[in-house]
Amino acid sequence: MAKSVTLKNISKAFMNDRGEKSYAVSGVNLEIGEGEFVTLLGPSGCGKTTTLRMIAGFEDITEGHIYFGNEAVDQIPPNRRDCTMVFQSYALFPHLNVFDNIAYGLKIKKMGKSEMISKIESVLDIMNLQDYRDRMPNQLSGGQQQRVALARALVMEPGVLLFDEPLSNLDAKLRLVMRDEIRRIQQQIGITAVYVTHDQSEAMSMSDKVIVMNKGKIEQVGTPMEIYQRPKSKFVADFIGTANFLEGTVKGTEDGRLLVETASGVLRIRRDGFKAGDRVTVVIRPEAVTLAKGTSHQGIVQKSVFMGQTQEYEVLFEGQMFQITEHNPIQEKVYSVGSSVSLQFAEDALHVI
Amino acid sequence: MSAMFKRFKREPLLPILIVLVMLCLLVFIVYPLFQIAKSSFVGSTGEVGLQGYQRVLSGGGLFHALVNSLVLAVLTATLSTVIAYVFAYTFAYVKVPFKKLFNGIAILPVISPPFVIALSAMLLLGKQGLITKNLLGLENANIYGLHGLVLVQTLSFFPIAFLTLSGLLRSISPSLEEASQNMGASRLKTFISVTLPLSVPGIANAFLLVFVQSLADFGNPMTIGGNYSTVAREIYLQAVGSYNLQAGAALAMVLLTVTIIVYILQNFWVGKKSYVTVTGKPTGQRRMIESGAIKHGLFTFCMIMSFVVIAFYALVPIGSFIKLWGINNSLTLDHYKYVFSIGQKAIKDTLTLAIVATPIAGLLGMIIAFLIVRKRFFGKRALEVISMLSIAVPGTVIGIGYILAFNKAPLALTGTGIIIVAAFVVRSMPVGIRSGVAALQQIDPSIEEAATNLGASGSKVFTSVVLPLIKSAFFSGLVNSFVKSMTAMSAVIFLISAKYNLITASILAQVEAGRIGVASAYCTILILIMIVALILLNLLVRWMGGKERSA
Repeated sequence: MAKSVTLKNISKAFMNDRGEKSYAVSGVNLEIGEGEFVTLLGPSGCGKTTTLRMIAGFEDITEGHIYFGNEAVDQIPPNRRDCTMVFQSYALFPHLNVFDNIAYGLKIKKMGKSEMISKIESVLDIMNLQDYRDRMPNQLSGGQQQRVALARALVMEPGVLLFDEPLSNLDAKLRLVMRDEIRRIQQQIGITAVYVTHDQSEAMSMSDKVIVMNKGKIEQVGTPMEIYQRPKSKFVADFIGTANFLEGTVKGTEDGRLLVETASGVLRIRRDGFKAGDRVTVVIRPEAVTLAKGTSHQGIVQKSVFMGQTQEYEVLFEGQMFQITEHNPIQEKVYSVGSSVSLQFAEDALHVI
Repeated sequence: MSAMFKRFKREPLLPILIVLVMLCLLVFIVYPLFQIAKSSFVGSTGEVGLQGYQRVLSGGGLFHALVNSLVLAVLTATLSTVIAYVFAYTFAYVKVPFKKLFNGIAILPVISPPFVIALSAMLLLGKQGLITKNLLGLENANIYGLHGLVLVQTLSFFPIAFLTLSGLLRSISPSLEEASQNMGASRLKTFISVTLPLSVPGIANAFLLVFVQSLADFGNPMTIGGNYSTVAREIYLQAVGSYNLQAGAALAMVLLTVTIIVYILQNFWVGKKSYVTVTGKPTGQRRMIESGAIKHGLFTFCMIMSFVVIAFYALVPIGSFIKLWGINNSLTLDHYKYVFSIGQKAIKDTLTLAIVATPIAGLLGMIIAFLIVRKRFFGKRALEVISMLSIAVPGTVIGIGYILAFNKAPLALTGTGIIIVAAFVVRSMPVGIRSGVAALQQIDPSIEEAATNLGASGSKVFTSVVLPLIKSAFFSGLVNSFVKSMTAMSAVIFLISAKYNLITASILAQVEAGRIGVASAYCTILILIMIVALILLNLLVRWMGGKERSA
């Protein structure tokens, strides 16, 4: 049975070398619905892994409470919490073969033999591991080890499934395959999943909800699209994808759009909650800019790189460097370094913070 | 042929070096062992036969010694492994205060002279013992024999097991235990189903290490064995006492066989079963046990063990100032006066020979390590096997081998300093080879290739690139060689003469004569010399390191 997870004002403090109290996680509030796939995303040291380990019970909570469903679990030891974890290092028991690794938790549950075998059989089928059941972990490839680790966690049919950067030790291609596979299985079973990663494309492609963390705090919670298109802070905008920032001042509103005066002229942006005179930052994604032969707004191309699907530019414009991406580059329409260009902003795709 | 010539032209020093090293190993390791094997089949009148082995295996005194040694080794190894496991587990898994202190205490016996614990055991538990006579009021306490040996050997050797086990327990990935807990296992269940099975190879290794140490031990059986004869002691008595060299050689062959079997078990069977390296990436820190009965129980255990070890070490210096332990407890400096008059020569000889042997052993160890890891040449496999073999050979076997090999021309070295230095080197070199090999394997060969590419010759690469990189391994090898040489006894006891006497041999003589106070004074001085030397060596290392950085 999938369970919801609620974090109420969770903090984790520790003593640093100088004997001062410092916070790895502070004041985190979070609600994860039943069957939801939620990703904790952030740079290293942002507290995402600590948060996950507090949910699993491997780290004590300094302040706050954690609930699975309606039940407070923060006083329950890790071995009696209804969650299983896929570890970054997989943590397969090297002295047990694949079958026994998967059976480990079921044996502790004292499950009946026939039931246990049928459950293991079905998880071996799901994970495509039938051929490897008698192998020892060191006889498996990285991808196979990863699958065994997932099978071992899945077979327990936990209320919550936890992932601690499970794909970081795989090569790029396998990572893409496993990403889809984990998502597919999670949706098939309908289990609640909390997934830690520092890879934004992983987070975007797998999650119902992304939680961006920084310095022990939640920066923003939202769907992948919200996080990308409506970042709440410069940090989020910069961490997810690439962003150009343009400082400006709100001049007023017109037809429900903000008029923002910037060094690049007045931009008309669909956004509420600001009033005339506010100092704001406009977030401009590289693909929200198109280039044209230079006329009024003059910019000079500093870098022009063909990437296959896209052409990536750096353009110096009004004293500021812009990252610009054009899709479907065609040879005749590519600007070379030194060209004069004008910048056109797709105003519907702009965002103000 | 021309290829070989080209290589010779490129690195003219290398073949000469290889030949020299091989020659040393052949003369000082292989040849003596061969002489033992030969002598074990040759009687005093020159007839060839199996009489030696018959004597060993016929159920007589020598056979008893063999059985005694095995019983003692099993008891000591079991007890040591258990104690070491508890110690190591506490270190790796429990949050206790004074960890550094415990660690220091636990490894103290590794660097101490062989007699300290045996002497203390007499002072504490002997007929005039502090505990037995003064505390318990026992009149005829007897520390001599199997029980005394088990006590003394366990205290002496459990640190070896501790070092092995603590390394192993630390390297078990904490995420494995977390995974177990995560799937519902309690702490106890996790220990039984994950931690313990993963530490089995380490436990086996620790057991075998102590087993061999106990089997090869010479000093403790000589001092505290009483009527409980053991193999190492019998070899000495046969060779030096009753001059039955054939029986001594046969017994040495049996001992050597057992230790080599154990060594092979350790390296090929236990080594294969090791799981530790499977999970490459260490994941985070282990969560320590911070409270509860387990913590208090383990902490108490460590405290008691540490107290016992400290008590054993404190007693020897104290005993060295007591006139006649248990009978006349007044303070005196007589023992030191005696040592400085009669024993001065032994101290001087030991120091001189150890100082000569230390750099030779250190350098030779590093060169062999370098050859094994980095070079390809004819006979490399043999070099590897021989240098590994020297780890497994007990000191007494080396001792009797040297007597047999170097008594007569062409290599009549008996009675010279050379033979003692050779024994020091052979006994202390293996550790240097091991740490050198370990250090070198961590250095990317491309670093050396880069030096060659920039024009350095073979010897220049070694001195300018390899040596600086393995410096710390080299110096720890030097420290080890010095300590080992100063405290060596099992091999060199066969080799001392009027010309060269050694502190350890003098201590043994004093113990046999019942002059415990003098023996304690010798021990105290030996410990002091070693402390001073270790500090000096450390300063030297730091000074050299500092110079390197500023350059």
